[in-house]
Amino acid sequence: MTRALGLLAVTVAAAGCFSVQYRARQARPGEPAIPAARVEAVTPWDSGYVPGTSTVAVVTPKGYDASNEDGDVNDYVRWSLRVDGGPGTEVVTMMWSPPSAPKCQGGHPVLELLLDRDKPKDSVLLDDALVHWERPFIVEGSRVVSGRFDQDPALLHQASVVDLTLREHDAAGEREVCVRVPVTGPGVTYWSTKRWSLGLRFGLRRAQAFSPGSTFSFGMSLGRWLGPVRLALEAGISGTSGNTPDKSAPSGTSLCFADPGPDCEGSSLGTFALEASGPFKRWGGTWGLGWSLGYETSFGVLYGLDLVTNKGTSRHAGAGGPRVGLRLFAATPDLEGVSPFSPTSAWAIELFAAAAQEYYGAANGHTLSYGLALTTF
Amino acid sequence: MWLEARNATRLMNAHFTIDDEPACGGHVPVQWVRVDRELHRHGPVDVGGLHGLVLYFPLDAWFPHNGYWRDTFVDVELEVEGKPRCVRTRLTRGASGEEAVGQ
Repeated sequence: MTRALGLLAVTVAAAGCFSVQYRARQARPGEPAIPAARVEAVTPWDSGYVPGTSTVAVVTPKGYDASNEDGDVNDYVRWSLRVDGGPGTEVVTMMWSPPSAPKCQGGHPVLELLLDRDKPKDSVLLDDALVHWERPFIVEGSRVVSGRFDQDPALLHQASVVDLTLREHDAAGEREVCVRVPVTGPGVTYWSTKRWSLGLRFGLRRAQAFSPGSTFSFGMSLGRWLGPVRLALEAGISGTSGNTPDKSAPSGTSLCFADPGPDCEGSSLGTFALEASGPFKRWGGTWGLGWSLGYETSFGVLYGLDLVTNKGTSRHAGAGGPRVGLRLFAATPDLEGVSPFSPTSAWAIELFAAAAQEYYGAANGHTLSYGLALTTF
Repeated sequence: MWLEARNATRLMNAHFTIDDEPACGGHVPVQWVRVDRELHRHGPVDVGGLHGLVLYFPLDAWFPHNGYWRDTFVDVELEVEGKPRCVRTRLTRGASGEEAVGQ
């Protein structure tokens, strides 16, 4: 069972469902300029089995003997370079290192080399590239050559280079060329290819359009990144901690969400929202300011207390309207050079204001409201 | 597979091949190779003498349009005393998907 789950996780990760890839938006050419090479993409968390650990097999004169093990899963860094290979150009190896390392002689040696497919892949379960065991292998025309390396988070956050050792064949014979390609540092920027995003939202709101009391809310969202904007559908619940107002609880409406008193209405609400959000200012890579703009609706039941008869009452109400928010968010970048406006995962504190109009039910609350939310996306 | 090779023999590459793809020119190259008990993450590797080889291929080789119902082979690319050789082993035979390992 463990092995099956591990295989599924590795397969899905390999297909790019979980692993986040960054594509280069700005890249610097390698040196020497010919053969031309530049960084194309990086996957900072490229999960995969350590070769040979999931199926331990040996062949002896008596036959085949294999055992299936849980296997060791490891995270690698995958650098992908666009290489324009001429006739007879062969890839020998790669190294990933700081720029101070001697060319093609220092840093992390490549663990596996991969080459993009000759034909487009015909299943989402397949990787975009195939591991090439043979060394060297031919790269002709414009191809993407990738290398898996051991992880080095410190090196991802500073200037670094990938050295590509090529072998060229021409009339003069055979010669090796070391092409140094800047992969992080000045002049190299990245954009995340992340598309889908799950989010959570915990909020406190001062009032509703149909009731003056404060409410808590919890919502889940499914978002899709469109450039620097996350467009999301959110569904959730909202209300107060109890349905029946308590005469002995504090008066006023600010604490209705926690302990509804005689001035409150208990509430049980369902909420839906369509929201767009994105960053507009970043500092030092981690912290930033963002915005959100949405349209939200609430539907549900409100419970009151008739103070004369001391009997409970209930009514239905629904309202909807626009919501705007200002977010302080924290997002840890995976590597140096990621655009501040690139899709990302983050947590955020949001101050929001909302205006609402009743669809049905009595307008006993406030048309304008405000609140605080803790969100992740 | 069990390999009995001359002393100056190196394993250069291996491919999973279907139908009329050229020998040692299949579209699925080998990922890793275990020679006896030792795993090699890249080639070439000396295989002169008597050796058990385990060839690891990617998911592609499992997919029906690649494998079942077709002629499938594993082609092993060797260099014997400096000269290239391609050794083909048939895995399945034709539309029946009948196993034909070792033939």
